[in-house]
Amino acid sequence: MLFNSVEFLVFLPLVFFFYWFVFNRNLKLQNLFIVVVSYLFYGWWDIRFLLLIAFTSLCSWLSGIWIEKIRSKTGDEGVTKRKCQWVAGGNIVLNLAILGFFKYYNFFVDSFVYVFSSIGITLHVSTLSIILPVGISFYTFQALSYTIDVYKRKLEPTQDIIAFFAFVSFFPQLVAGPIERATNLLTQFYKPRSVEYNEMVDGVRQMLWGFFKKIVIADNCAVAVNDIFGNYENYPASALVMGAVLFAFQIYGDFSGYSDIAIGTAKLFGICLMQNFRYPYFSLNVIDFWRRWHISLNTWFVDYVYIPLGGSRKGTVVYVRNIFIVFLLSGLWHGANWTFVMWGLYHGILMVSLFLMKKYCSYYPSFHSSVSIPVTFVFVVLGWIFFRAETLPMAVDYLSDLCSVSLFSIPKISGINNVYALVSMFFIVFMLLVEWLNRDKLFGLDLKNVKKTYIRYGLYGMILFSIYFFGNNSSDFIYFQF
Amino acid sequence: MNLTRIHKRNIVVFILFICVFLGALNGITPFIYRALPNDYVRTRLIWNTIRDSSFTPEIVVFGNSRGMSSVNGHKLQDGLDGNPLVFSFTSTSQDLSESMLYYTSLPSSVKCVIQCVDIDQLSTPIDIHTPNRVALHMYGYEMDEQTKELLPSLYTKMDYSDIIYNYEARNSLFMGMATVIRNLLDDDVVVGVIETELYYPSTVTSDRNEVLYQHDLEEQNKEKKLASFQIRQEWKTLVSNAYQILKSKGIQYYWVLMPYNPDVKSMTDADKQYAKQLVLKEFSYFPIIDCVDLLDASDFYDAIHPNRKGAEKLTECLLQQL
Repeated sequence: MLFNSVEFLVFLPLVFFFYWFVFNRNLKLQNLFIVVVSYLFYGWWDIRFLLLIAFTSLCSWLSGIWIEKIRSKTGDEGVTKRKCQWVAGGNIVLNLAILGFFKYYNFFVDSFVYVFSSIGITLHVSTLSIILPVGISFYTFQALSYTIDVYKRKLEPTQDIIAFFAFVSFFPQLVAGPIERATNLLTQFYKPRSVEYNEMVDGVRQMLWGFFKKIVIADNCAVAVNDIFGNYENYPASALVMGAVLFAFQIYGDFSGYSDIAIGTAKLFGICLMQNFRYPYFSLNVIDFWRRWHISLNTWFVDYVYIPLGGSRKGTVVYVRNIFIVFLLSGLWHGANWTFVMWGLYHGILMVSLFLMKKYCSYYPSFHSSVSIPVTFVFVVLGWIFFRAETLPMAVDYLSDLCSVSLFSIPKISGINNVYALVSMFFIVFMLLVEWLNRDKLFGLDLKNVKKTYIRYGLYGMILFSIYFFGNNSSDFIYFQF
Repeated sequence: MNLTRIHKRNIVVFILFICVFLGALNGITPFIYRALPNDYVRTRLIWNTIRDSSFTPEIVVFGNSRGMSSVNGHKLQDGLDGNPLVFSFTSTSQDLSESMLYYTSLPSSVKCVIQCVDIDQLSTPIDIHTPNRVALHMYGYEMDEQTKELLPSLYTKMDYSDIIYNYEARNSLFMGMATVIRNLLDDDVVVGVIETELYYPSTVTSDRNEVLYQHDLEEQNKEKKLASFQIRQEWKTLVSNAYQILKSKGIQYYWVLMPYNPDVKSMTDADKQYAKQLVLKEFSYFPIIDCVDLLDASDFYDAIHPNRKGAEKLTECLLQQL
């Protein structure tokens, strides 16, 4: 079920009513209700997906129980640790195998066949027609965090299977994050929830802002972006620049819009989710960008990959290696395509370059934010070209086509798509203005400090007006495919 | 959930605000739709002209944007004996079934209906595009009883409440802006033609836009429109009934089979010939002017729309056949 659909417009108030006014007397019943409606929400795409998420949840929950059982038996500490390692490792491998099969099987088969054919060996391995379950990367990583945290004794294993299933499948963030940690989300299902009026108001505002970013910005950008990337050979370099910039805002509006709707919806149910975006296009450098973009995934990689590998404490070489590992994995997490791997590598190179400059250059330039923000944005936009391109050669072609004299011509694309681009730019400026004014707040439309009712309602009116008259319900959320 | 009286009042005010505001936006949509230009504004011109008894056309042409850019009413009028008044009632995305919505309301002066037809349409179900349906509603079209009997499936598809129509027309502000901006930016557009031109509503001045042409060809080549072509039974029945209605009003009915661009390679010559023969055989009870292979690739502005040179050729062909 999509957030921007009529079904969700009916679903949300109904679930809200039953959650607070019917099932609120019993915590277990309330959690069970969350599981049922979350499965309904997810099964709306394809009922077969439910088997997979139920299996992932069950295995992860059982691994926790098993680890606890092993630990409760007194015995040799080394043996206990090894047994726990086997159980945790087994569950991690199982989850990654499921993810790998559904997401990467065809990619690796194709790549192997290509590599062997380039050295003259023809392999006859057939690919499979596999449907990618929506949001599989998100809930798999969430389930993995539980197993790892239990193994590392950061969290007590839960006996409450319903709370655990609610944690893995909680519908607002199930298909596109934020990727929650068990230490934050699971523990909230242990205790009775309450919601304060101010939180509820915040939640609705955050949802409204999310809908604006998705429907008005991302979906209008998408029309122009699809045209430009689909016909990049025919357009001048200036139009290609416009395409890349619009894609930067498309993906931001799409993904951060989803996160805002998810976090806002969760607030209505008395659940607090982590912040996933902190105005990434106001970053001062690329390191800063990665502290602000898809925070839940990046902190996941930092906690479960980067730090266990040694982080930055074991010298420059290990640091550089760790950065590249994390960014390559992050690229691959996004999709089974070499373009994503290249995108990860590109950011890895930027991160390492910045680190080495800081460490070894006696003169490390420090610019005013009015310079460093646009410069960082340019580097990020160049990276998005790899992300959006369908193949690596296409990305390279696109980048090389940028270097032409037509860079200084008026960016003109075909027919009505010019207007989509213009309208998108108008709303992007509006969004940037609002977010800049609120850059210290948790989300763009945080109006807690605005005391005058007519200003608040004026803003609501403007946003509703934009959604109604300029909303373009043209595409799914981009991150569903990841 | 602990809510005070003020909280409850604020929630009610907020929900009321949303409902009233969205209701107001829905309510003003038809006024915006009618006030601003859009691609479907010809629907108003057609419907107003049909209802205005001061207009007495003898020949009317129906069809979609391909018909708009193909048939030059001035040339047709000048070339025919007695110089009968020729009006083009063609409009954007006007399918055969939408044209038929007007047949029963045609003025008594009309002696001949020329219907431009894309053959491939006959193998798809009878339908009407949402923007066309919205335009008909917004510009005051009302279906009479005879048309309801002729096109029961369209009647069902057009029978919605005003709220739904207004909601479907909500992009009118965007489309209005889009039209204004396009007219300003595009050197190749004849401004105002769509709204007012009753003879030859061709909107472009040049012979070809190369960028658009290549782009369109790629799009057109993605689908094989005439592969395994068959005429659906519902079309056979509908065309026969429509023909009877026009015949009973003393109107001569002609079809023009619209030309396809030879550069669109997804449509093979064999497919085109097979489909054309099927149509000629099935509808042999009224005259059909075959223009399927009439034009060269250079006669097209983009992948599907003939340019002025193509229109000259096609209109000349009509003159000879009529």
